[in-house]
Amino acid sequence: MLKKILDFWASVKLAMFLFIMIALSSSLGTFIQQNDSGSKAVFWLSDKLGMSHEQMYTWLVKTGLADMYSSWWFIALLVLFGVNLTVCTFYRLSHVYRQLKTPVAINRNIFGENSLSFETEGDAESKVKDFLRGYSVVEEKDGDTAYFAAEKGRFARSGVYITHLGIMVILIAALVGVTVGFKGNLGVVEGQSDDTVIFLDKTTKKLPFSVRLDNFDVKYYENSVKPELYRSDIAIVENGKEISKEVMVNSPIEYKGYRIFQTNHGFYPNRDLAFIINTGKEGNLKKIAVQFGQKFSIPGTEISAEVTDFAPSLGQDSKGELVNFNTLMMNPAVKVEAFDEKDVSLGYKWVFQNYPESGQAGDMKIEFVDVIGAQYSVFSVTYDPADYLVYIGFFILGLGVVIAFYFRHERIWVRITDNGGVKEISAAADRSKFRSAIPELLEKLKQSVTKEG
Amino acid sequence: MNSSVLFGISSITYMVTMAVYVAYLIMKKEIIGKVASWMVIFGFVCHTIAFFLRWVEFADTYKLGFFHSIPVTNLYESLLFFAWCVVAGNIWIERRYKTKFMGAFLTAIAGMAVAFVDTVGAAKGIQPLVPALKSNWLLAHATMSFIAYAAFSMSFVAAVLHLASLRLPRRSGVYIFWTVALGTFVFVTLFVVGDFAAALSAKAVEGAYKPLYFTFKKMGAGGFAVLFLVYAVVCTVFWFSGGKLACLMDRFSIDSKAMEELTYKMISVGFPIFTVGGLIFGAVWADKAWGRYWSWDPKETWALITWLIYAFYLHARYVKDWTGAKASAVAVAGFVCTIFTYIGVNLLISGLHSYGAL
Repeated sequence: MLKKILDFWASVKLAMFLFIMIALSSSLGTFIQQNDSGSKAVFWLSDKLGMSHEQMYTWLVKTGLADMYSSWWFIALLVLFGVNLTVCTFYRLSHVYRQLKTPVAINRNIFGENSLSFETEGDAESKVKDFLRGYSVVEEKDGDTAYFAAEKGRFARSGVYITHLGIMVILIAALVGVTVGFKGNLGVVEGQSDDTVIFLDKTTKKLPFSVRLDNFDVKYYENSVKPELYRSDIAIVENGKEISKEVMVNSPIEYKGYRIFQTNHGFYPNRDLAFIINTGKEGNLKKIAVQFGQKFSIPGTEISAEVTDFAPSLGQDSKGELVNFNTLMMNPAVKVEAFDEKDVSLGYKWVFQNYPESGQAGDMKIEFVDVIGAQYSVFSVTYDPADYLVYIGFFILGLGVVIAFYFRHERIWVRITDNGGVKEISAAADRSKFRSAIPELLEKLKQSVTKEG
Repeated sequence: MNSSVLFGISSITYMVTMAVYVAYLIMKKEIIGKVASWMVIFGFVCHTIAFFLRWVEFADTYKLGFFHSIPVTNLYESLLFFAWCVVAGNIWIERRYKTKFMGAFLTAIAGMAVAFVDTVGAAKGIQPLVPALKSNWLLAHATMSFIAYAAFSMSFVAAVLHLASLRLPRRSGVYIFWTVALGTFVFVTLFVVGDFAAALSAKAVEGAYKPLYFTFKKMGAGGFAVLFLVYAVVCTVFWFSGGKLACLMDRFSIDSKAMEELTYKMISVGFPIFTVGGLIFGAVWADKAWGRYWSWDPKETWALITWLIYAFYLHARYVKDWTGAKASAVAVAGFVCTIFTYIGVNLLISGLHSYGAL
């Protein structure tokens, strides 16, 4: 009885059935957009099935189709798959172990229908040995007859099981990751800090530390709206201690098992912007931070100034008039109004961050260095204690498929009978896959043994 | 010399070569076969030079690290790279199996890939990389995926030829399946080309062309009926004349068994590359860029489905010794999934993995 149950769980048939079931069911989730009540699929289905939109979505939620990759039946399929794989692998382990431990042996009875026989007059034995270079060879002599057995790549038999082991490790790691780990979003405005991660389902979680965004920068390719780089300078604050880090796309940071990724950014219109400005006489600039409407004096002169406007992407339209195109921070500029010592306006000027010479007036200079508080950055915060286990699984799986598919166990048996000068040779072979190429292999052996010289 | 000029030369060469191969199949003259073989090699050499030229241009233009600039980062470049792999496979098969029979089919696939690029007008210029694509895993992931796709497409050709050689009765399910799959494949390619031509003549192409968008927008219920009818006719033609392929194979004494072996072999070559490059490296990259190695994104999911179908094939073939029609039918199904993963997902479903968008 137990054997029957084990046989069932170890069967390749079950595995093949599960392949198809997982493939079919997971394809569903790609057509019905997950966790989205407003997706096209919902409209289409409700239209075709004559249900109201709400009914349809409720039905999708109930069946798990709206979030199917975490629905009980899909997880159950994956668990079945894992059990099948595990049982199957352990079931056959002793058999494989024996195969891996047993070196090839002389076999006097293997030469029959499938072997190749031929005659030659040369020094057959040394030529056979030559051919078998790269194999591990055993030989035996019995009167006028010499027997050879050779093999290579015995380890290749382990490939299938290493592959399966890799998948098992990945499945276990995924299970741990899903149950213990999380991934959520954390949005921070420049100059502020936050410690609350928001998840897709709108629930939140407090982190044991807070993240302060000191500066966000986006760089564009020249003459293009294509971004080249996003960078957030952040500080991680925990118990009054600060650590400064730089987060970029593809270069996340790690802190106590949490990883922080750059995922999104945007413009945050508000009045509390801080403008970092270099100002003074040419060659003697001072760095200051000012806000809208806050007067500052230009060092070394009697003149004062204030920032009256800010444009994130200032450019010229077709008529040559200044216009702000978007909020992508492609060409940020500040409008600076200057006043003389009697507080009489001297006029205004747009100063561009990307063009320092735009703030030149005589030997006075105002450079717009940066603006703080105009942008926000969205980070993904992930926590997965089994992360390293996944990588171990990846490594094992990769190693397994390479061994399983690019190496093979090959065995060759040769018998040489000395018949008064003429040597009768028989050869047989076996390999762990592509058996149909065995005759070709034997033919090669024959060619190399009967070759002159 | 500019890389696009060389790409153009090799594209045209592939298409002309396909015609030469077909002529060879019809007339069975050795000299025509030789010409075809040399033309393929010529196209391949041009293509290789173009590929490296573009690589260098890319690196120069954007001052990226050399390995960050391998030209496989958008649909245009990836399709060209795919065609390159298929043609390399064709040259290998000709040498290994001493037959030029597969040439017509493989250059057809390479030609279709190139034609698809030209018609959908996928942005051809060298485009700067968006930040998410600047990763060393990209080189490994994208390159290996396309090599695997190329191996799978060769297995598809071999599987179709194997199925044809079995001379199944027209009523058999497997026969219907493979002829309809082949018909669908050809129909979709023709449809995309036709749609492009229609959109072009109506001057609806401005900058970016959205495949099939033009036709779908114009079409009423009647239009769809006609379209479906055309599709049905194409499939029926393939269904009706599928047997002819077997006669052609006989003329060139193509062994049914050898085609079955080749199917298995190509899947055996492609599967590990797909596992490591497509799935594992893809997952590592996703983990580095988005913080999750697996997020059931449509592209990921379809890659997994493709992987499962081929895993099914390998278990059936290796453990259960399926060598008949059923196994090759699974190989055909695997390729249908491959195509869907590669192009269908980008056209029909959008997700995180939208870099291949047109």
